[in-house]
Parts: sequence; structure tokens; C-alpha cells
Amino acid sequence: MNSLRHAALLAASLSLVLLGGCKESPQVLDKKAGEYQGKVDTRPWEGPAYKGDKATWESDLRARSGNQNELRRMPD
Amino acid sequence: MLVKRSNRPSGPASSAQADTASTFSAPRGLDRRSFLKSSGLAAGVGAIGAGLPFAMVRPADAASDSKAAGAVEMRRSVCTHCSVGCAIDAEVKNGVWVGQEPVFDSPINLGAHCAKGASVREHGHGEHRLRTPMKLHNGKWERLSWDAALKEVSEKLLAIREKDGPDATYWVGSSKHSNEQAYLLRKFVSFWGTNNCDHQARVCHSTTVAGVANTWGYGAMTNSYNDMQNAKAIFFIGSNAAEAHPVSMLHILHAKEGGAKIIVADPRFTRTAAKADHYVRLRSGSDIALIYGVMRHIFENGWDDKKYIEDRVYGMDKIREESMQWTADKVLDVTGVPDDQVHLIAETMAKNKPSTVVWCMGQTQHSTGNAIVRAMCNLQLALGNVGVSGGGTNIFRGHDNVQGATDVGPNPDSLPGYYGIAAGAWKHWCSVWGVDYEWVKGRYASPGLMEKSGITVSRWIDGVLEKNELIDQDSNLKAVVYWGMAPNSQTRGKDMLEAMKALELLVVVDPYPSATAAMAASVRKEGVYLLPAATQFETSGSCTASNRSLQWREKIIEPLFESKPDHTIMYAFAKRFGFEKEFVKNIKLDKDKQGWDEPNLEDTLREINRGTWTIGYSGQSPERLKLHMKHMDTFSAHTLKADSGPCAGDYFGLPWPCYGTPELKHPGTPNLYDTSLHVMEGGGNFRANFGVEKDGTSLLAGDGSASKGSDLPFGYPEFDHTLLKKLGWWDELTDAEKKAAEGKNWKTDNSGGIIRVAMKNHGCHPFGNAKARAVVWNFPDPVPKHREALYSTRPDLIDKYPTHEDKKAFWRLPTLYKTVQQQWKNVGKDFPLIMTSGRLVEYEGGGEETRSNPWLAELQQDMFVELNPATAAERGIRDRDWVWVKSPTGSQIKVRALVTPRVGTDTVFLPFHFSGRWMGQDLLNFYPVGAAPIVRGESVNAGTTYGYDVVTMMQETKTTVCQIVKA
Amino acid sequence: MARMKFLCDTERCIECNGCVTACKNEHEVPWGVQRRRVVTINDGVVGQEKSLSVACMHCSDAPCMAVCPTDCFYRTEEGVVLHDKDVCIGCGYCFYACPFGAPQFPQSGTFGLRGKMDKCTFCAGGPEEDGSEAEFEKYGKNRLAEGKLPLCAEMCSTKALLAGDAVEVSNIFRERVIRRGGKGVEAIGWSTAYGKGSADADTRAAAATAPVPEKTGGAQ
Repeated sequence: MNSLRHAALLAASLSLVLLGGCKESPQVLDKKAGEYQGKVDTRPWEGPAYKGDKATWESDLRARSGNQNELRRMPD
Repeated sequence: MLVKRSNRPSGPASSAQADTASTFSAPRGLDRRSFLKSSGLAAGVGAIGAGLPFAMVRPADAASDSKAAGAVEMRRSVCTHCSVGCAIDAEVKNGVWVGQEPVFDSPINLGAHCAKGASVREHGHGEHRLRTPMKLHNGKWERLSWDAALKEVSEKLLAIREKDGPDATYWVGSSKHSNEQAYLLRKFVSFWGTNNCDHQARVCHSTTVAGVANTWGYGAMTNSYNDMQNAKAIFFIGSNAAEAHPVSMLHILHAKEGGAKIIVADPRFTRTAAKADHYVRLRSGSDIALIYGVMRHIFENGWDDKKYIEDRVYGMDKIREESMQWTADKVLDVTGVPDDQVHLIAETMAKNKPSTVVWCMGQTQHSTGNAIVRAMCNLQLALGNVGVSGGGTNIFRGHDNVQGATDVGPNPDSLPGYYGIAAGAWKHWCSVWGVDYEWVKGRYASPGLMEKSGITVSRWIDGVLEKNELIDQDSNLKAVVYWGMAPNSQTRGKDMLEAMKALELLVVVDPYPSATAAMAASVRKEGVYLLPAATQFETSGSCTASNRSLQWREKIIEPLFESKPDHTIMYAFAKRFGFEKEFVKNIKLDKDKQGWDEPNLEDTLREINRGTWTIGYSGQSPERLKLHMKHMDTFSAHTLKADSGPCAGDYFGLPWPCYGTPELKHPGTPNLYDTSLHVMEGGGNFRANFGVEKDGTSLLAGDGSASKGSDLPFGYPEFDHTLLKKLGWWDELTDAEKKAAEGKNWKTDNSGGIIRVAMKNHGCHPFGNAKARAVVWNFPDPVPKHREALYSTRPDLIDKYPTHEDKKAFWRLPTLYKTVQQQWKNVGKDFPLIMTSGRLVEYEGGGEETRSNPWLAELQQDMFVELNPATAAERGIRDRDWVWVKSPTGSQIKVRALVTPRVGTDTVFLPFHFSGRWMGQDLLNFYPVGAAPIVRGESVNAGTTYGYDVVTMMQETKTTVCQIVKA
Repeated sequence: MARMKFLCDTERCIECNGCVTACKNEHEVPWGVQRRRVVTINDGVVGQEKSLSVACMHCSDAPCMAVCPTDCFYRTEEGVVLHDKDVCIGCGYCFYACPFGAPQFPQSGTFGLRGKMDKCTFCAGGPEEDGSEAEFEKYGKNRLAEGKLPLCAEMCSTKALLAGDAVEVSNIFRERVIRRGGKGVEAIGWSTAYGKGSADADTRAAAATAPVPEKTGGAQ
């Protein structure tokens, strides 16, 4: 991970020098075939809304799913 | 290789991520729109992104400059794009509408939206809105201040009033106004002194309102979208709900999946037909023949509900006689539908009860529209399907508040609540408004004109162009105010352009400058003003969905740019015209952020409540409506009833009639004329509105057919002070009520006492209990009759089923029938294709608003004509070719060919939402800079022909003729 | 919890494009980019017309991921296929590989980065801080992190388009299919997958179209 981070930082500083305000993103210089080369992401329950509480997030999502089932509110 | 998030470094949000992000991503404000502007939209659509044409700061920009990241507030509103009434939750941050969330709690839409509803947030940003008042000067659009605009417009209008009388002006109102605004506009026009006002309903469901109300009492959808869940068979004819009312399909497909049979009859295999069990292709305009064919099978097989007819229907024997004329061969000849399919419709409707029917503009927009809709009513009466849950006539209205604007808005033949315009009606409303009847009378040119129906919006062009000696008012029209309606939704576009040219003054009040601006600027150099109105998301107020439920909208954001809500603009004009005090006698004034006076909308609704007894707009106080909006989750999505919670017992939105005062706590009426319920629980019966006897036959309902728990278990007339006295119930009124009710009937007793005693104490319906009329003897065709369209490709059928005689003075204008039909009898030789029109799901009405929304515009970028592969091949036309659609009027429009088996070989279909191109020419340069819609196209109505309903002046759009050639 | 999946019920889809504009609205998707669209087959052919809403299917073995020369794709624990636009070079290999036409290549400037591939994120944002401006600008809103589901499905006019945990989605769909007496086995692709002539398919089809027992009308 360190090398990746290093590369990203290097690219970042290079881009600042070379590209100035061009808004072009830094390119990945070092890549391992078949392995994700991008930035890491957080899990959805790790954001400000759930702060790592995965169980509540899952439960909320299940409850929310029920809104897609109109049969709950339209009995025969 | 699978890379999982577990590969991420331990600990909270990685610093590498943050570092990298900061290197390339310039920090931005929170305004999502500035992002949108810079993100490629402008490049994608060419010239429209040329930047802000006006040097002003939009409220949205101003708000996002504020450093403080405000909290997100939720505001609840209702979609403005059709009559289903889908609720919307808006997320607002720092005054900017930043997000839209589904309202799962709504019993009507359960969070669901079509393309239009899912994109309404765009109106809260409105890149293509009219931003400031403008006027046309030397052929160019110039900006002017509100003050200058109000001054110039009012001076010009007053000069015309002085010179040519108040009837020389025409006021086109809007079905997109809230109930309160629509109501205020009728009052405004009355105080100006004319009945020359109208709105979209004229060209949408006027024939329904007149035909249905004259059959059984009220001119509205009898049941509801939700109630269709209870139907066992659903017959669509002239309705493409999947595109025009998409969310209704949530309820309809629910019924289908529960076993209901769906039949769609239409000249075109629509998206709705694609979901049906059976599709029946009929020739456009032949509905009555088809319906009689169906009824013949019903009568022949004894499927009619004899007891129901005996007790609750007048004149069905005449309908039976007429239907027997429609033998299989005749039906086939006129409609093109073989007898086995006709039989299938009859059997499906008769053997799967309760069964319901749905119709829309496919039935209403004909010169025989009033008769077509009555034939549909008769079909349902024969089957005993009216006043029954799962049955009824489910007439889907068009605009979000077309029902409400019809009920209480600017109609040329009635004051709010269908009171009419006879002296009694004026006196009733003057007492509610708190103004002197004599004063209002003095505002009119004459008492005669005060009680004479005005010109309809479908004919204002003739009010301008017709020879003066032939019109039934003093002056021709000199000024027209388009206050929230598109011109391209009216027929005879070519004549309209001439009328626009001839006017002295044209004023457009609209959030979008609309096609009116561009059309007018293409033929004029002066005398056109554009005033920016706010959308319904920038104000509050109630609106009435097709099922008669009222919903209260909260203001989501402050009016954008320099726009003002319509009622604020009305008041500003009232001040200039000198009747502002009378205008808001009972209505508080609020100050808006710029210090303008704004009539209070809650007070306005209370005034509507105090006067509109006839149709039960009296019980829906703002407090009750707001409570419903807050507790939507307590209402059943099946019955619309709240079984618990603060609204327990009520039906959602207090669907009208919600009789009596708000204190009476009437729950609203889910299904009209339903005798299985007590009147205080939303029950009812057919209205006694046509006398008690006709030609020796009683018109009152039969014994035992009153609503549940009625103290009068038989037919009875409507309630007034004498009936109450005769029954010995008079003393149940309080002293104050007695004073108000003396000499009055239930419609004019402003205490609501007569209604209270009849309903609450005795379970009786204030409007009486009568039979429905299968024969409407006061209409030109009492028994609905098939008549060929004025422009028909079948001269042989014109001989057999000719149209009506010409009319000399009809809604103040001479109106031609036979003359036109005979003149164009052989039009089919040169114009052999039947031309019909309809909706696309992405757009609404004239379409300027929705075609200005990039999220919608992207989905339909070209005006087109659908034509059958065989029709195309005969003309050497390939799919996507440019073609000319030529009309007998001499008009021709250039559109794309869409070659599809969706239409038969004899018919072509064009959507009606386009404008901004005119007979091959792009009108872009005639719009104010930056305010043209993204997508422009030819208007189908540039090519439509003459033809009007013989009762309501509805225009004929669905059956005319054309020829198509390769461009 | 199972994987996140979309399911479009063709018996319900009416091509109203609500899903399309809901997506546009939520993510401010620019003109020319169709993260989601509705396709109609046999358009206008009586008895054969079917509509279906399509976006990235978030494949478990995603071809886009397999062919990407810069390996910009990743799959979340919930089964959502996402990519890093900083790594994407906009070559279009994923466009070749995807059977659903999900990858989009905007004309310019989209989501802050010219020429990079853009596609449906299942409303899960991307590899930036959840709910941040950077995430929104490059990938759109992150509804999953707010405990919400993709807006296209949540706003579907007929609840044809379903989204969420595959277990929940299949529960909803199963209840619906049972209620309508077996329809749904006629879903798009059923006969391709199981063979038109197979006894099983024929039986199911017959069951699905069998007439509902005649109901007694009120007129008798």
C-alpha cells in the first residue's frame, strides 16, 4: 500500500508542476495486473450517517426495501 | 482479482484519499447547479448554455454564497404535471432545492413517479425560465421593471376597457394555478367586468364535465385511482394512462395482477394497450358506434342490471332502442371492429363485475364529445356499475389542478362551484365576497353580458377575427392575457397567428415565456408583454387531483429570479384597476420578501369553503388539509381511509363533495353516488337536479334505493327551507342558522345549517335522491348519436351520419357544422390519412415547461409522426426521414417519420407537446434570449382543423385528416 | 446480507422513464450520459411489446472488471461494482465487454473528469469520502451510505424496478408472482434460458395464461 500511496503523491506533485490548472487527474504510474489500482473506499455504514454501525445500516436498508412492495399497503 | 474494501488501510478515512483528492479537485460551493452548468450540459445542448443573459444574482446563487452549511429541511408538495397527485418531498438547503425524495407514505403514489414527477426539482432551478418582465419593442424583447410593466399593461388594458368595453379583453387562466389562485382569477375577471375567461379544461374535459354532470349530478371522476384496485374488469377507451397518468398504472396493474381483465380500445396500440389482455383497434371518432355495439350485446344477453335501471335510471329504454340499431355489420362499417371483439368487450364487462371504464381526451376532444361521454355513462348505468366500489366512470383529468380550476376557477359560464351566472348565482357569490351585487353589475357592460356565457378559449381567435356583426357582444377582442396556458394546445394554429397579429395587446404571465411569446414575436413588433410567474413550488396552496382529493402544497423555495406568484400579480393588477379592496375583502394581506402584498392563501381557501356548498368544497379547511399532508401514512392505499390517527374516519384529501362546514367533519366522498354508505361516511346517490318529473315519469329514485341509513328511504328532491319545514325538521336549526337559511336552499344557505340537519340528523343527501338521466333532453342529441367528424375520410358515412346544423350564436360566436362538413366532404381524396394526436410521457400539455427541463428534453428531442410501415412504403418514406404533414387548412409541418405498426394504415399519430418551430422554421430567435426551451418542434395544432363540440365548444383534435409526403 | 441487485419486472414496466429522470435528478447526470435507460422490444407489435429498465447490473463476475487495462474497478462487500475515475483512462474496453451497454463516455467534462467512463453506481458513490463534494462531483450521491436505496427503483412508477439486497428483492418479487398466478415466468429471456419447447416451460406458460374462473356478476 505504501508504494501505491507514494506513487499517488508523486503523481500529485508532478501534476501540480506539469499540468498547473489543467484539472487533469494524476495518472497511475505503477500497476499490478489484475489488482485494483484505485483509491480505497469506505463501506457505506462507515460514513457520518452510521458511524460503523453495520447492523443498524443493514436493518434500515431492509426496512427501506419494504417500500418497494405495494402489497403491504394494498391488501386484497 | 477481486479487490475488496478490506484491502484498505486500517483506521478511519484514509489520508491518502484526502491528499489525492485535494490535488485535483478545486473546492466548490454547495450549489449543485453551478456544478451542473460546468459539467457539460451546456456543450451537450448547444446554444442554450450561453450563460446568464441577465445581469442579476439568482436567489439560488446568493444563498449558496453563504458560508454556513445550513441544515436540510424537508418540504412537502405535489407534482404539477398531471392529475394523479403524486406527493413530493423536497430537500432544501440554504434556500436551494437540493434533493427530491420519494414520499412512500402517500396513499396515492406510494413514492412512485413517472419521468416528469421524478424531475420536478429542475423547476426549482429553471435555467430556461422567464426571469424578468419583458416587452416586445421594435421587434426585440426588452427587459423592463415590474413597476413599468404593471403600469404599461394596466394603462393599455384600461384604455381598451374604456374604448371597447370590458368584454374586449380575454383572460386565459390556468389549470396549473392552485385552487386559490384559480378562484381569485374568476373573481378578478368578474370585477374587471367580463365573462371572457377560460382555462385548459375547455380543451381537455369540458365535454366530460357537461355530459357527466347532466347525466347524474357531478362532472368528475366518480371513483379514484386507488379504487380501481377493486375492479374486476377495466375498459380503457381514449385513454393512454401508461403515458398520460403513469402512476395510475400502479393501481391498475395491481388490479390486473389480482385477476382483473383489461381491455384497451384505441386507434393506436399504446403503452397502455401493451399491458392489456385485449387490444381493440377502432377508427378514430367512432366511439359511440362501438359503445352501442357493446350495449346491444349486453341487452341481447340480458346482462343489463334491470333492478338498478328500474330504481336509479331514467330513459334507458331509449338507449336500448338506439343500441339495437347498431347491428354487427353497421358497427364494423363505422368502427372497423369485428363483432367477436365487440362481444368480448360486452361479456368481459358484464361477467367481471364490478367493472369500470376509463376515458380521457381520446373521447372528449371531438365535435361529438358530449355525446361520446354520455354513451359511456349509459354503458355503466346499464351494467349497474355506477355508485359501486370497483365500478364507476374513472375519468382521468389532465393537469394537476384542472379538476380544481374547473370546480372553482375561471369558467366563462359559471362562478365558482358551478353556480352558473344567473342573477341568483351572482348574489350568492357577492354575499360570500362581501361586495355589493349592484357594484359588480356596474362593472359589466350590461346585465345581459353579465349573465351571458363568455367566449371559450378554444375560440378566442374567432373573437378577434370574426366579423363584428356576427359576434354576440359589442366589440371584438382587442387584448388577450395568457395567464398560464400554452397556445399550441389549441387547434387552428394558422388562424391563431392571424389573431395574434390583429390584437392590440397580448400579455403572457407564465414561469416559462411559452410558445405564445415566440409565435407573437414572429408576427408583431410591439404590444406583447411577458410577466414572470412563479411555479407552484414557489408558493403554497391546494390542488385537486382527478379523484377529487385536495392536497395542500408547502412553499419549497422563494420565487426564483424576479418571478411572483400568480395571486400576488393579480393583486398588483387589482390595485392598478382600483378594485383591490373588494378583491380581498375577507382575505388578509401578507408582505413578501420584496414588500409586495400577497393575498393570504389560507384565507382564500376559507372563503372558497364559505361559498362552495354545491360540490362540497366547504369542508376542506386549510387546517384539515394540512393535517392530512402530515399524516399521509395513516391513510390506506386501498380505501384512502384513515382508520386511526388524528384523521381517523376521513378519506385522504377530503375528496369532494366534503359537505357542510369543516366543523361538520364530513369525511369526503371516495366514490360518488354510493348508496351502500351513510351520507356522513361518504355515501350518496344520484342528484336531483333536473326536476322531479319528466313527461309523466318520476325522476326521483325508486323506493329502497336511498343511501344507507337515510330517514327518507326513497327518492326525494333537493333540500331547501320549505322542504325542511314540510318535514318538520326546521326547528333543528339554531336560531342563527334559521336566519341564514330562510328563503334559501342547501346551496345558498351560507350557515350550512340545511346541510347539517339533512345529513347529520337524518342521513339524507342535501341534493336529493333522483335517477340518473340516460337521456339528457336539454342537449342537442338527448340520446347520444354517432355523427361523422367534420373532416372525415368517409363521405359515405357523412351521408348516413351527418353532423349538426350550423349554430348562429353559440358562446357568443357563429359556429359551423354542416357547412364545413359538406364543403370538405371529399377531403379524403387529397388528404387520405386520419390524423390524431396525444401525449408523450416525458412532456405535459403545450410542453414549454417540460421541454425546458434537460432531464426530460433529452428523452424526446424530435417532434415526429407515427405512421404504419405500409403507409410509409406507399410514400417512399423510411424511418427517421423528414416528412411534411399537410393539412387541408394549407398548413404543413416538418417532422420526423416514426414508422411503426403502432398505428393502422389509415391513421397517423402526432404528439401535441411541441412548439417553437413553425412550418419548417425554427422560432429560436423570437424567444427572449436564453429563455427558449431546449427542445423545439412543430406544433401538431398548426395543422389541425375547424370543429367544435355542440355543447361545450370543445375543439376537435382527435379526428381530422392529413397527407404526408417526404420532405 | 446478500448482494445488491436490480430486478426489472417486465409485467410492470410501462416505459415511463421515471427511473431515468430520477437518476438524472439525484446525480445531476449531464446531457448525453444515460446511466439508466428503458428499452422496449417489439415496439408497437400487438401482444409482443415489452419494456425493461436497464443499467449496470453489478455483475458478480463483471466483464468490465476483467478487461480493464488499468484495473480501475472494484466490487464492494455488498456486490456493487464501482470504479476509480482517477485511474480510468477512458479507453472503452469495458464498453466492448459489457453486455448491457452500461458504461457511458460523456462528450466532455463529466463528473469533473474529461473522457472518463461513467456508469450507474447503485447510488453508492465512489472512492471518495462518503457524502463529500468530491464524491458527488465524480460519482454522484451516495444513498447507500444514508441508508437509502437507488432512487430509480424507489421512484419507479409501477414498482417494476426493484433494488436492494437480493434476498429482499426476491421476496417482494416472489410474493407478487404468486399473487398474479405464476406470471413472471414469462420474463424476458425465460424461453432462451429454459427452451421454448420444453415441457416445463409449456406447462408454466399454460398455467400463466389459464383463464381466471368466471366470477358471478351482479346482474344475474
